[in-house]
Amino acid sequence: MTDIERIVRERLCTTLNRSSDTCGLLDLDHSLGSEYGLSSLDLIVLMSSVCDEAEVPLTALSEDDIAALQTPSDIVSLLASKAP
Amino acid sequence: MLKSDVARRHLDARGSIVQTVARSGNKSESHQVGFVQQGRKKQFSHAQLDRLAFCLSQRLEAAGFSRGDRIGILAKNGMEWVLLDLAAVKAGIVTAGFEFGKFQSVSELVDNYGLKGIYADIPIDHDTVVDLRPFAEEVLTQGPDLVAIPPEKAAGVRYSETDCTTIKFTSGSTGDPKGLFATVGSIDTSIASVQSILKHEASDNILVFLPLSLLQQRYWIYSALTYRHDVTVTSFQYALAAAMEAMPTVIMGVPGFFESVKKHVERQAPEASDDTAVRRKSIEALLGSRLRYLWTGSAPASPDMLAFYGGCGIDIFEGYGMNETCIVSKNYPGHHKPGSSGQVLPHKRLRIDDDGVLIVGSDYPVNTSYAYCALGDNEKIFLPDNEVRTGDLARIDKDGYLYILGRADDVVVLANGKNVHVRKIEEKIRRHPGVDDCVLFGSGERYLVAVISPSDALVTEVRRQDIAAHVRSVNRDLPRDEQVHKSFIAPEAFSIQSGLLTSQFKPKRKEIFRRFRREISELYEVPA
Repeated sequence: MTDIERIVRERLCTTLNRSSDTCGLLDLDHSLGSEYGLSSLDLIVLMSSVCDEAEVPLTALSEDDIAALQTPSDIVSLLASKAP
Repeated sequence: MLKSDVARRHLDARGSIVQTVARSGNKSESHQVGFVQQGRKKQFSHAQLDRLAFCLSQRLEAAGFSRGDRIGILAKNGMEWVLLDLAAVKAGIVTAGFEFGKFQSVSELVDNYGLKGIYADIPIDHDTVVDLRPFAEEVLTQGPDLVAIPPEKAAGVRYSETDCTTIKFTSGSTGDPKGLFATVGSIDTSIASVQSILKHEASDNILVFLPLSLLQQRYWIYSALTYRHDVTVTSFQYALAAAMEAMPTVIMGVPGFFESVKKHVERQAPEASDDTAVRRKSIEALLGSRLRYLWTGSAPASPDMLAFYGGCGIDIFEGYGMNETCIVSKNYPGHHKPGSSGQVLPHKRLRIDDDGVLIVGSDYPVNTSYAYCALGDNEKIFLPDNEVRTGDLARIDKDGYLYILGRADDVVVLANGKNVHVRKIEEKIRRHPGVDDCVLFGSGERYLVAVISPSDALVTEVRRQDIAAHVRSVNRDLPRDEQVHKSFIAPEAFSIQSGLLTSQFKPKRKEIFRRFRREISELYEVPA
């Protein structure tokens, strides 16, 4: 598991208010909206915290990139392409 | 002293606000306009921004743009948007701000609205329109510090109160948007009226993340330059990052935004439902710790949401207005009744017509007709004596507070001829934590049915039954014709992306009906 994947799993767990020991069980290909139930604001909160920990400024991602995120895997891929 | 006198005094003391923006120089060196946008965080003092806008206005004039010409802006929120808008005001060029994401091509916009230039975040597919991007980029690259404003050019164009600076477009969900030119008088009095009650001052920083294509969002820039407060401009995606960066004192958002913050805070600390201090900290962790008040409007706010923020000691002020009237009423400190849209602002008049519909009169109307609309639209909205038929059902209490009861066109006429105002019933159903949104249908049918947007990704059978029980409990207080006999829970929450919410998070009734036509019709197949 890469650092970015770990960060995404941990932060998604927090956003979903799930116990941190279930992070490894999250399916990264589930839909953020229809399966994890995140609203557009939840996604922004999640992205802010993930970016903080990954040391990627949120503003390094375009609005279009953020709006196009469908799954946690998409977040991992996007962050991996921007990480220092 | 009457409120209208106070607002008038604001104008008299400062002169026209639009004229203040048009005039170059004499702007604050110590107040900032900040931008948080992709790849960039940038702050300009008012004086720097003013110099850049002056420089851009000169570039535009040198390229052949003159007073009365029109330019379009189809772009994400950012410094280029603001600069072009300010430059246009200085040069007397009329702006047309288009909702970003709504149009796939600029060609039709250029031809329909007679645009001489356009700044677009999408490719420009028109042969003759001037691309304004190089102008803005050149000015920003040069920077503000080398710009000098010759005294003879500082005044900018002269405006009268009936001149127009921009075209406002309605954000309707279908068809071509209606457009009307906004008068300087309406812009001046709206901003001055807001200032007279909310008294923004040097320590204020107003966070703007709703689209700048909405004129009222640009008002905050004009207000900042005139009354000398800070403002931070960003887009929805960066709103929280910008809040942490700028620590705003005022945030303007639609009720859906503040509702989402509430739900997020509740989910993060469900055990803290009675601990308002913990909740306030959670809100401040998202929106910053300097909040003076939250501004909301443009859609009904639920009583629960208003109570949530109020309970945490954070003022949230609802107001009322529409494109055709500009801002009409607003709650403000000392004059606040939660659930109302506040008292009428100076230079506006309210009355309720025989159908219960709110009519708004203005001393300084936005305009007296649409410039762009379908045949017959003007007659439906614009009345003599500078009045606008809003289409909203309303009441005014004995203290002059305005309450919006729903849209006149939210009335469902059942098969038995009974008119039902569905908005208030929808709001009651929406109070259930498992319900994100709710729209009722039943025109020409025997009874009302609900299409429910769920809060949860996976709606369990227990949750489903709980929502059904909630609908039954809502029904118990309603006459039979207003009861919701059957419900359908949509497979996922309504969203802007799915095309079921407008950009201001309002449900698109017609589109929801079209999308779930089969499911709705099934709700009528078995007698209730």
